[in-house]
Amino acid sequence: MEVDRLLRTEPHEPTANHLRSVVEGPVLLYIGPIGPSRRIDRLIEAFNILVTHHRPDAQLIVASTGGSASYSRVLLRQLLELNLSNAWLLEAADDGQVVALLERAVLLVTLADADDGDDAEGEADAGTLLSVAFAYGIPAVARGVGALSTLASGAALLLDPDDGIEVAAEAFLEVLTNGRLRAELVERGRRRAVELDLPLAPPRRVEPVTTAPVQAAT
Amino acid sequence: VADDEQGSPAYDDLLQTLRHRVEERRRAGDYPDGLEGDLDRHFRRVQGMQGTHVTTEQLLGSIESVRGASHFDRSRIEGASRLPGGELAHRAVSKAVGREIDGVLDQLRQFSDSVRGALELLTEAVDDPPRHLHPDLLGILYALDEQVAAIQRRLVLDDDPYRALVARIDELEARIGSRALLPPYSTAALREVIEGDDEERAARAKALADQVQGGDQVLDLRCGRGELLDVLREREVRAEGVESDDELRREASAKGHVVHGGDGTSYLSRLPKASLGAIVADRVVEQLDAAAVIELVVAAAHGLREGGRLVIGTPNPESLDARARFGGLDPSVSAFVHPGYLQFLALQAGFRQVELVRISPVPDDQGLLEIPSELPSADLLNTNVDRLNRVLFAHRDALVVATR
Repeated sequence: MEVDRLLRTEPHEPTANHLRSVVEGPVLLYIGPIGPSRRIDRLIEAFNILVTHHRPDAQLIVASTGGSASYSRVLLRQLLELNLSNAWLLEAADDGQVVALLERAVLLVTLADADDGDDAEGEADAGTLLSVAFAYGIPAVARGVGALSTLASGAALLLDPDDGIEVAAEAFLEVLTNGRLRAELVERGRRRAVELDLPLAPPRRVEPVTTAPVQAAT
Repeated sequence: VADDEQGSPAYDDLLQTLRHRVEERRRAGDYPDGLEGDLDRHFRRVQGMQGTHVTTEQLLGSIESVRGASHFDRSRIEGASRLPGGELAHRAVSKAVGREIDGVLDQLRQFSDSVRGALELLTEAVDDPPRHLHPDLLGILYALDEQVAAIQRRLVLDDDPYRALVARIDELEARIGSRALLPPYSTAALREVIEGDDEERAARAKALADQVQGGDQVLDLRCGRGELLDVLREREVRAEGVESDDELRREASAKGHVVHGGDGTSYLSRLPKASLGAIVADRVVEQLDAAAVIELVVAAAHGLREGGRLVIGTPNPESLDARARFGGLDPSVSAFVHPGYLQFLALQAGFRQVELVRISPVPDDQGLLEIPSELPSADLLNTNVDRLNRVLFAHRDALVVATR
């Protein structure tokens, strides 16, 4: 997934149309390969807390650009058992679909592990996701591990590696509802993109997610 | 949220607040005790439901051990006994029912041979995946085979044109490299000489900003130090720049502007259609060749939304003063571009309305002076002075303002 290539790609119209007409509420988006080190399971758990306790209208889209099919099956079962009907696992997403999703997303998220050795790929993928977030002017929340701390410091909301999923859910909620923070993350992200020599998508209007948080029944 | 961008203390504070908020929710009972642990255990359980996979090697080993055990013979029936006379009794019974035992063993041998045949067939099938009778898997395999073959074919067929193309690019790069302008001065220093002092540049930036007033999402091509971006920011217009010169780009970025590197037309062509409110190309077209000017105007037409404006600023070739001032001063200027041509080009590229605005008037004290009216033929001479002034000292710059 390269930013430059994505910027040259037209959005996949059926996906864009589906997002316009069917998907309501703020969309949290993960893009990248899926596998154990990407900790999509943790992302789903944090999302579960977000929709159960704060924003039942929130949507999670996990757009896989490759990875482990057996891990995908486990994630699908996890979503099914948690009854998360507003989470969507999209396998083998192509560039057009990714662009359509980016145009609809209000928050890019990853809780990938990235400490060392075996997880180096997870770190690289999380770095790519953050680069896309900066280029497209979408706020991002990630775990501040490894080189990501340098890449995204001050330009994305980086969780401490020891922070649990409840803190992650709280961070998602904060970025969704705090307009000033969203605008600041977008502005800083775009500046970081320039520093990193990344091409930039045209600026889009930065808005807080205006729907008031809804307290779900617990 | 504080403004500290370099470190993360600003967000450290925010994260600390979020952690406190989680603690409060736990205390208030909003989050049940052990929520995180419960979810983790749930995921581990889901993961454990995957089941164990049997490998082909394990299956083959198991079949092999069945094969080794399927050897039936009367001699393998244990006849020894620890009881007194037991062995004799076994032998007597064996002799008495020997025919029946042989019959049972024969049936077992037949059954064993059939089972072994079936297992061998199964072994063969397992050992040779394409022989599995799974049409769906075979279908996938064949589709993959076809894709691989197509890729291989393309690589083989396209090899020569690809090599030829690479060679051609290398050749062109070598030619361009040998003709590249590598001056000992910086572009920033030269621009200071050409574009005058801060006051002059600021006045020009304001004149340009007036033309994009009311628009938003402005892109300033070759934005230099960001003088226009400064004015637009003061007027609360969202704007970004493109600047190929690293030194100028750094200066503009240091003022907090978003400035992209590289070539402006290339950047424009990568943007989605109708994504900008205005595009400014000031002192750009005279540095481009004819084809590049066309590419720029066409790319701008593509990038601007309905009602968006393209503003092209260029030295006015109708002014001899401009020619004297700018002609040859900047070696990167290939030729003056007539605003009439730019107007024509913009209309042909799809802009619906095009205006010409002249800016940077020559100060009155620099023109030819009129003859006192009391002198003979003063009227005639002054008419000619006026005509000469219009040719010699016309406005130094022209702005072509095209509306999409």
